[in-house]
Amino acid sequence: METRERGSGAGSDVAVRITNLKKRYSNGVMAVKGVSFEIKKGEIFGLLGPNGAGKTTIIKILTTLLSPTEGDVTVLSYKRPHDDVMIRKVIGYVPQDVSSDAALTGYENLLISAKLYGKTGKDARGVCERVLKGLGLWEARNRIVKTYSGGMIRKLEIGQAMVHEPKLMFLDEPTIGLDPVARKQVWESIRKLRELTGATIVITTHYMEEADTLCDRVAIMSIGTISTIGSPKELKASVGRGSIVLTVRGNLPEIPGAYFENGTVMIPADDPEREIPGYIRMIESHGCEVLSARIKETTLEDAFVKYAGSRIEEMDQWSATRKIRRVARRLE
Amino acid sequence: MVCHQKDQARGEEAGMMISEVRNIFTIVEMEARRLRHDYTDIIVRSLQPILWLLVFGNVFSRYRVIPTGGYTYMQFVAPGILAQSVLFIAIFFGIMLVWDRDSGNLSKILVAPVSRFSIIMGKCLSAGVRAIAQAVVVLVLILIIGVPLTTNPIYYLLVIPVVVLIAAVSAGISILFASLFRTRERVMGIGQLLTMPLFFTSNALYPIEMMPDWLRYIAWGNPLTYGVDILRALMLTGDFSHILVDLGVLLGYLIVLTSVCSILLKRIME
Repeated sequence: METRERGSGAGSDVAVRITNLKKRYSNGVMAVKGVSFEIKKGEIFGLLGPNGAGKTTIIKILTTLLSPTEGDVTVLSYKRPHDDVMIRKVIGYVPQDVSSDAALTGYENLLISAKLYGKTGKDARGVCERVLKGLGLWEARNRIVKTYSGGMIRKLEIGQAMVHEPKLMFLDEPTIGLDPVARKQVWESIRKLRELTGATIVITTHYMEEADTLCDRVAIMSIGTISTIGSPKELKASVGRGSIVLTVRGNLPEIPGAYFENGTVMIPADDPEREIPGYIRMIESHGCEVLSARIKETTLEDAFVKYAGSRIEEMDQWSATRKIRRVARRLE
Repeated sequence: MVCHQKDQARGEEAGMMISEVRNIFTIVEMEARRLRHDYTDIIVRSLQPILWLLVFGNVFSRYRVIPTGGYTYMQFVAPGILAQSVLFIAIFFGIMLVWDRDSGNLSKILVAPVSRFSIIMGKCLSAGVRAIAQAVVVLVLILIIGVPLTTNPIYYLLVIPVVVLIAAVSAGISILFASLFRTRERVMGIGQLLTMPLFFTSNALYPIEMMPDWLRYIAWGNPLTYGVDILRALMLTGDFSHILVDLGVLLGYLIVLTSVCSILLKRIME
């Protein structure tokens, strides 16, 4: 009895457990190279990395769309692939590409989703009304989705994925191709979703700001592996509080930890405001002229560079960039 | 106690069956709603079969080169042309599935608690919905042209389920090739490559008796042959001696294709 209880994960606070997950596609590409981590119930968890890092592959494995090549995957205590049918009943998923049917109205899209999740008749119509009103799409319900803005489509898709009140929601690049205003609206919808349902939310993103403002914890991914996991605050703190950015003329003395970037000198510092005069004095005493000085706060980007070893844009692949453009175009 | 558990299991099974049937209808409903919003496609696609009938049919009617058993060639070929129009519209459902995959539409359905069999069956029957609309337009045009066919309205009503069956089997074939070839470009090419041979190796344009032996064997394997046979019986001859075989073969094709495709569906996602 006890073992069964453990097996079904009663009282467990783990929503997703991945152990040594590997995925090799049929064309031989190793998209995920042995990854292990846990996602806690109730958190907004972000998989952060450039396109091609393996984020979408992990999401597709968690949502039962792809089979793992190796490793154990448990979703809300259900094991893949044995309990796939049960997993599908309790998760919601918003794919990266537009998944609403552009030829149907917003209401029809929701109605079809509600029916696919076993709602019928009055029950289904009630869900549609509640969700559409909750997302602020009620006025636009009878418009063909083709006429929706990118932000409206994303909200509708989130609505479609929550008709059955899932305990766990996956959003793959929820704001890709959206303008800044629409992006903020989508963030708002995601936060509201968690507030209302208490669901665990897993997103993938390659936007630093999105991971920073939205996620409780972030896993930094690069080329099929996870470099580190932590809250955005922890990750930033592990890099240091900030850096001093100087432009100088003349021969620079040796400064430990300093490096050049775009013709400026970057000096990592724990307390840049207090340290900056000392550095300027020291450099000028060596006969070198300081032309400008400013302080740069640590961002998640700095943490990303530290753990993934490169800037996110530098790691993007050409094919992925083309795809973003294509999605963006379709959303317009 | 054991008995009770058995009953419960049986009850659950029945419940699952009902919900799967409902899922199939939901997928069909999606297609019907798409069609309601935009039916220009149906009108445009009706022009091609009418050309077949008006040009090809007319020319062959003049010289009686094809033995059609006492009917004019126009009469003989009309059910074949109807079947062809259904085939042509259904064969594109494989491409639509690849489209649905490339947008997130298919993933959304695959993540829902719907069996793979129901998804494929729903897609096949969706082709049936589109085919009904197409068939009605083509039939009306055939009657306007004035090809003398049966006057029994019940036979025309029975044409509808047959059209759905032909469309579903054709869509199944197309989905099979889509899951084997996977990319949009390849599947598009295969779609073009499939339609003409299926049409020409059936009894749509000429009776099987006219064919050389090797072609006859192909014709007997071609599901369109059986569909045309029923349509011709309903619309023209009233000869229903093969109807059970015809229906059996078409239903068999549908079940086998749907089962194979639901196993292959995984491939299309990779």
